[in-house]
Amino acid sequence: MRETLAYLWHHRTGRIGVCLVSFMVLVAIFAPVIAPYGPNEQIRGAELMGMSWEHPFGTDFLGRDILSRTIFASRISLTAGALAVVLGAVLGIAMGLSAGSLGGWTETVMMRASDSIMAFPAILLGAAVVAILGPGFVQVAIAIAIAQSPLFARLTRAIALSEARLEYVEAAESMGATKLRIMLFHILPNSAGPLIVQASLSVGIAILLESGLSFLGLGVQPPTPSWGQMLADALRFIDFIPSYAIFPGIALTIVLVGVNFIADALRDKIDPQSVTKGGSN
Amino acid sequence: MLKRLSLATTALVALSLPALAAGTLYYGQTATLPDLNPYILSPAHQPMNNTVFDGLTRYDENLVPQPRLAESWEFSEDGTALTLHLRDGVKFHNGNDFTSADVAATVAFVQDPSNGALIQGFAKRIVSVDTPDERTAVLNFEKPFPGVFDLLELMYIVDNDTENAFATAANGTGPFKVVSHETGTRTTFEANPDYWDGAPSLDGVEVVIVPNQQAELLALRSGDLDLVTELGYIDLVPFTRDDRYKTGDAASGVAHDITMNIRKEPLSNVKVREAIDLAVDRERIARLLFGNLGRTWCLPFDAHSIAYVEEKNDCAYDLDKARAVLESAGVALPLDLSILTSSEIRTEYTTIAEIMQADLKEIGINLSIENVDAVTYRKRYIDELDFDLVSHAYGRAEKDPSSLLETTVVFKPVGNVSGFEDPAYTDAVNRGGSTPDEAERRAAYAEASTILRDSHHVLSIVPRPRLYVTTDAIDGLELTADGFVVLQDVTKSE
Repeated sequence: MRETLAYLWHHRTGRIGVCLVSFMVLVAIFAPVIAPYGPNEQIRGAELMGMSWEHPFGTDFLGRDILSRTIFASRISLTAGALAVVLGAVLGIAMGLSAGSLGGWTETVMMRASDSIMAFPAILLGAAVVAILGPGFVQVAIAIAIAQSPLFARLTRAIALSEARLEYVEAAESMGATKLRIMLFHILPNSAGPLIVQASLSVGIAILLESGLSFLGLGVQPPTPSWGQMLADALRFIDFIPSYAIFPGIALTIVLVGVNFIADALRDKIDPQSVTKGGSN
Repeated sequence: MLKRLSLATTALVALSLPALAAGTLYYGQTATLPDLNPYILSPAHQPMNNTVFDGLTRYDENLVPQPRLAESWEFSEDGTALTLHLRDGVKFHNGNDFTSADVAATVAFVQDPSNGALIQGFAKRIVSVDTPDERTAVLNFEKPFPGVFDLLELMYIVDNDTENAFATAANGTGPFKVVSHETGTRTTFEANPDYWDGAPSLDGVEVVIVPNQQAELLALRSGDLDLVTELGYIDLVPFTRDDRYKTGDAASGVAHDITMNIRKEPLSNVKVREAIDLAVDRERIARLLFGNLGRTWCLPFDAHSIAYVEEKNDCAYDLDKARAVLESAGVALPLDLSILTSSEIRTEYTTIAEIMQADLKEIGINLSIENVDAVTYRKRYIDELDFDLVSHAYGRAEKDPSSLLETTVVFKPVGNVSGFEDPAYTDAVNRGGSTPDEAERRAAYAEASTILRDSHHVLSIVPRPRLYVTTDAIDGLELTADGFVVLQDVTKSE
C-alpha cells in the first residue's frame, strides 16, 4: 500500500489525482466543521440569492446555502461511489472466480449473466433496478453495484484462467488444496493488481452514475443533498442563479478528474507498456 | 377612388392580422395519459375530458351552471328531483343520437364501484333516473341535492350503446374525436365537423407526452409544442418576459393540505395538532411555490364560498404561540414525527414537506421526510393509513362545499383518512348538502368550518393555480372551474 501511494505521489497526474481526491475526502469527513450552515437550514428571505460574502455560492429556492449543501453532498457521492464499487467488486469477483476456476456450466451461467447485464447501458440498468427497489441511497448503491459487477467478473475470470495454468496453482492442487481454497487464497491475491485498477476506474463511473440517477430523481431523496439532485434542481433556476448549477458541477468534476488520474497512474504501474503521455515518473 | 381606398384598407387590415390556419394543436404534458376514461379526473386526463366528451352543464366564471347537453332544468318543489331538458340533434362520434337513455346509462356507469369513477360517491346521491321521453331525464334524490351541478359538470356523458372500455377508444359527443391512443407516447384527436356547438377551428389536437418538464419546455421553445399546462411558477416566469408566448393562470380546483393521522399518538392530542398548525408558515409556502400568484388558505374554501367563515380564516404563523401550545400539550420534547410525500406525484408535495421540516424544528418537532413512489404513497395513505402527517392536495376545492366535504378522502365525515369523527360535523355536512335554502346551508357549513378549524386534523395550506403557456399563435383557450382545458374555440394562426 505504501509502495503504491509512493508510486502515485511520484507520478505526475497521479499526484494531482491524489491531491484532488484527498481534498474532497477531507471535505466530506469534516463537512460539519467546514460548512457555514446546516445542509437543510433554510434562511428566511434569502431564497435564490446570488453569490455574496455570506453565501459564497448563493442560496437555493428554499434559502439554503449552496456552499454548505455542496460540501455535505460530497459525503453522499463519495460514500455511494465507494459502497457501490465494493458491492460490485464482491459480486463480480465471486462470479469471475467461480467461472474461471470451476468452468463448465458454472462458467456458462456466470458469463452469460454477466453479458446480459452488460447489454444494457449502465444508467438504464440502474434506473430499472431503482424502479424495482425504490429510490434511496442504499438502493442506488445496489443498482450501481449490479451495473458494475460484469466488469469485475470478466476481469477476474480472465486472470483466473491465466493463473490456473501457473505452477503455484498446480503445487497447491498437488498438496490437496480444495478449489475454494485455491480460488480465495492463491488466485485472488495474485489478481489484486488489475482489480485495484478496475476498482479505481469504477469509483469514477459509480459517482457519475449516482449523480445521474439522483439527477433523474431516483437517487437520494430530498432534503438530503447530492450533487446530481442539486443539478436537477438548478436546471429550473438557471435563468436566475447560474451559480446554483455551477458549483455542484465543479465539485463533481474535481472528484471525477481526481479518480481518473489515480486510475491512469495505477494502470501505468501495472502495465508500464501503456504509460500515459506525461504520466511517467 | 373611394372604392380603391376601401379595398386597399381592407387588404392592409387583412395583412396586418395573423393568418388563421386550422392546423393541429400540439399539447404537451409530463404525465402519462394511461387511458381515455373521463371519470378518473386526474391531471393527466384533463386535456381529454372536455375535448372528447360533454357534460350536462358547465359552470361559468361566477360558478353559475350553464347549459351544455342539458338545455334547461328545474328542481321539484321539495328539491328531491331535477328535471333535465336535453339538447336535440346531438350525436355521438359513432353517429348514435344522444338521448335520455344515455344519461341513465352514464349515471349507472359512474355509480358502479368497479368502474372506479372518482365521482362515484357523489353520484350515489342519485337514487334513480326517470326517462319519460328521449329529451327528458329526471334525476331523483333521497334528499335535496343543491351541489348536483358539481356532479353534472364532471359526469361526462357516454354512449349507452357502446361498450365503455376506454382503453384506447372513447365515444363522446365532444368537439374532437379520438383517432389513436398510444399510452405513454401520444394521443391524437380530429375535429368533429358535426359538433352541436359548431365545428372547432382546429383540424385536430395531439397530446404529446414528454416525461421531463424541462424537455417539455424546450419542445415548446423549439416549436414542437403549442401548449403546456401544469407548470410550476418558477417554470412560468421566463415565458412571462417573452413576447412570443402567452402565459396564464386559472383556478384548478386543487389545494395543498397537510393531513394528520389522529389515530396515532401524539397527534391524537389536539394541542399538538394546533401547535403544528401555528408553526406552518403558509405565506412563505405560497410565495415559494407560486410567487405572486400564491394565496393562503386556512379554511378549505375561498372567500366567495357559502362555507367561508371570516373569523375562522385565521391561521397566523406564530412560533411563540406554537411553542406555548405544545408545552401545554404535556408531551415530551423533542417529538419525532414523519411526513409522507411523493415527488413523483407533485414536486410541490416534497417542497412543502421540506419547508415544514424547517418550521417544526423551531418548536421542537423533528420531522423526517418519507418521499415514496406514487403507488406506495397511495397505498400507505389511503389503504393502510400508515402515516403521521402527509403532504397532499385535494380537488373540488373551489366549487360547491358539498362535493368537497362529502366526497374527498380528507374531509368526508365518515371514513376519512385522518380518523376524525364528530357527530356534530357529520350532521352539519349532511344538513348543508341536503337543503336548498341558502341561509340554512350557510349556517350548517359555518358549523362544519368551525369544527374543522378547531380540530386541526387537516391543514389547508395554499390553493394551486393552474399555470399554462402557449405560443403567441394560439388564441381562444378556456379553462373550466376545475382548470380543465376547453379546446373547441381554440385557433392557431400561421
